[in-house]
Amino acid sequence: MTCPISKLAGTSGCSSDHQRASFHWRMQRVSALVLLALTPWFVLSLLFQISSDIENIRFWLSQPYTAFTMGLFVLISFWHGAQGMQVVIEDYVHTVCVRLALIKIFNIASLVFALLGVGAVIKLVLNS
Amino acid sequence: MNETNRSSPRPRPLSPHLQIYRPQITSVLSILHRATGMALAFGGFLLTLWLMAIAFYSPVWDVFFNVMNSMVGRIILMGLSWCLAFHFYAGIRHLRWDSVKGMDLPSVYRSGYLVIALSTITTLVIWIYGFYQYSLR
Repeated sequence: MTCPISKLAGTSGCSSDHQRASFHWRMQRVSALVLLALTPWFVLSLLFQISSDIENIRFWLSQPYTAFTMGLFVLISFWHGAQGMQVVIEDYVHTVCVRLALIKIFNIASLVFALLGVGAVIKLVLNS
Repeated sequence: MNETNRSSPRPRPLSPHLQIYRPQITSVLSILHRATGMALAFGGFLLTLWLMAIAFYSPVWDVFFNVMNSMVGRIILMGLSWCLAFHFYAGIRHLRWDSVKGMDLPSVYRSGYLVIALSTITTLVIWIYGFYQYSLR
């Protein structure tokens, strides 16, 4: 592979493509299992907050328990989303260089938005 | 792995394309699991925008609330909530398969219809309850 991005694509600690792929597969199940618990919490919480005004929502989100769980939900969701998009891109984008670039772009975008989401929650905790 | 064959002069044989097959619940659900996952991977960006709109006291962010509360915004959210419900239940189905359970054909069909029913019912309950509560305030 002569693609310059291929140097960035490696996962440390994995010696072969096979090992890397199986590690990715396992981690995707781990994030799925965590989301199995967090997603009902997220949906039910939003449903309970539906008639709250924005000040109530700010107060609710700034509680330590809520803030922690929401932060975790944001991080694991974006992680799981990036994992899934990587598999989809690997399956359908056949040009190696474009494939690696797209995976990298989606990973970076996911990380940025995850950190922005967690940052917003932290700001609410600090402001309260 | 595919790349090693790329340099061969003869084009590699193609398997029959997807549209040749009659849609079956097994293949349709498999495709939907991917499609809903992709929709959610992009829809997740809305989650961050929502949290930022709550955290930053600025009228600029009110635009976000207004857009999401518009007809178009609500339809997008309804679609995303069905995607989330579907991906959630279909994900449980996949995790069960990963532990090599429920893989015989009758079970696959039964769990397939169950996933469609549960995700649709869940979405309807969420939105009916949501609109009802919203109308009470």
